Amino acid sequence: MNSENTTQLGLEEAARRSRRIVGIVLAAVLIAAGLALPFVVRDPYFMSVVILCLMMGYLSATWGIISQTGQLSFGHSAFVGLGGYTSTILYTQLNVTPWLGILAGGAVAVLFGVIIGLPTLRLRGVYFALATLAFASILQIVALTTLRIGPIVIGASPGIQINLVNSGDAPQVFQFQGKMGYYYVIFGMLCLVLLLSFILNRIRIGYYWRAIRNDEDAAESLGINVARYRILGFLLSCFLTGAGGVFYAQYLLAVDPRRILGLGFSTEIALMGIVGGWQSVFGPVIGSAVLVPISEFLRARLSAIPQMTTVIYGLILVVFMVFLPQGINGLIVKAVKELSTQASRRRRHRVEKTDA
Amino acid sequence: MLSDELILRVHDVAKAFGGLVAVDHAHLELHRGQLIGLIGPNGAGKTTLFNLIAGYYAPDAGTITFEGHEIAGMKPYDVCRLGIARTFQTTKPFLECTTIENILVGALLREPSVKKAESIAERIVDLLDLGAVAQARGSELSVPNRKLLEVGRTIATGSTLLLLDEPMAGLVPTEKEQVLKVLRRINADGRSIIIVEHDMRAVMSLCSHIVLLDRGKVLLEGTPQQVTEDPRAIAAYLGDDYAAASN
Repeated sequence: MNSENTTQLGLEEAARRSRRIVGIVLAAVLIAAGLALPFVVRDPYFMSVVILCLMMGYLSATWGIISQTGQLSFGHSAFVGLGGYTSTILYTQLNVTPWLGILAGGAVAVLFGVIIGLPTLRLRGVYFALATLAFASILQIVALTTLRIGPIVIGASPGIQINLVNSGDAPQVFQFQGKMGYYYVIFGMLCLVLLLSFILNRIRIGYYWRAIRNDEDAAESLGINVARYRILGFLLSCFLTGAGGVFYAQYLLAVDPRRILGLGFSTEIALMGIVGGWQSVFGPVIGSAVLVPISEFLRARLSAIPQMTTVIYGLILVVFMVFLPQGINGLIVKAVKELSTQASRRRRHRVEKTDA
Repeated sequence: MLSDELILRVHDVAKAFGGLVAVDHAHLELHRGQLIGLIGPNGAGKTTLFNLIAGYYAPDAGTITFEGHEIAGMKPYDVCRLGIARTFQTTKPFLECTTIENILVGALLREPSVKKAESIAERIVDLLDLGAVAQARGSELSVPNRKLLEVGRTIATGSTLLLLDEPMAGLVPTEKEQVLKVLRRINADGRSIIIVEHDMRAVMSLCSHIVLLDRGKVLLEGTPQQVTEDPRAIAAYLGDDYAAASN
């Protein structure tokens, strides 16, 4: 019995180690490929799809930070919009560079996150999800109908345009000629967010988030202040999402309330997280890497029926919720675990044979 | 191990849900290192009393004092910080976490470093003889292992008082023996325990002091022998008629 245990533990340990090595190599290869991509691919349409993939990956990864605690946000477009509007207003009206706007946009998103999260994250159940959904709708209506608040121009339904500086070649105000500059910015942002989530997952707060999403009562019984850790996760998510909104605004050189504050956009962010695996660090990115190209393809083919993509999104969401709640990431994790355990078992088997 | 130091005092505590009085001005005292068995028929208010002490409910009346702190109405996580940890009648393991990770979460309360918390968890896994399922997920564990896992999590928090809600319910005799062995071991380490349990033989062999709760009131308390010989105990479980007949 005992020696069997140690064998089992040894197997687990070996499998874990080989998984770690594979993970590091994979990360290095992906980062290298990511850095080299713009030099290999010159097609602007392809690049724009890749940038969209990365941006949606970034946004659903930041969305994933709150879902790690077991609460789903269905109104994350609100925080993208708050970030985008803040930096755009600061730049177009006060000439503050959007690079600083990233901090300001994040901060404004956090401010509203406190207002939404503080009351609802203390409650159990769907209140938070509903509050985020309601908040996003209200914010969109306000943005669509408000021309100005005091001296601040909101722009009502056309939104706000950002003027090109030096025909786009102005990195100091977050404008680039061509796609390459934007590509590297969003690629860097995505890498940072993934690294951050990865680290958070391995320290106390990550273990607490996992405990909370598994069982709130049990988490509380072990001294975990559930509401506080949830709110922490949400505010971090708000800040990073707001920062993502600044990129979005600069990339499109506009904030359009129908798009950046749209509920469809919120749904897309959540959908990519759920399809990829909302309880994991890399799931949301996998989800966007799969779904963005599909939706781009569909958009081109089904433009005659404008609501068709929404219907297809709905179907995909239901299928994943019912059949694959762990998402694509869950499938991959399962397969990798199985393979690595088998591999180390075979290796051990060989060693034992040669020993004999 | 038993000292004279009074660490928990439940005084005149009451809790009603609508018209139903679950705990009716109950009293309970516990000294450091003591192992108290809380018994009583179904609906006597045992779990409610646990929920009151552990902060899941706020009492309607009365005081609960733990090591000099008034804890009545405190939040569960603050109660745990002071050194009281509980298990649940229906076990609540973190299903996607392994046994080690489950216990590690408890240890993180006083040890912020995951690495150090993990080594604490490993020691507790050994203490509880859970080595064979250390890497199994909560969802894969058997009922007795889930019960032990919850006990392990309470120990990991570094708590001095453990509230164990039916840790042997649903177990076969050999599994009960194993849990009993573990409970004696952790009590010998100096932790105080209050245990709710229906298996009388187990309670009698484990506890030096028994408290019998009936309809929210402490009906009687004393050594196992005193309690079993009291006709009121039989009456509480089997009804007055049976008690009269057996006399």
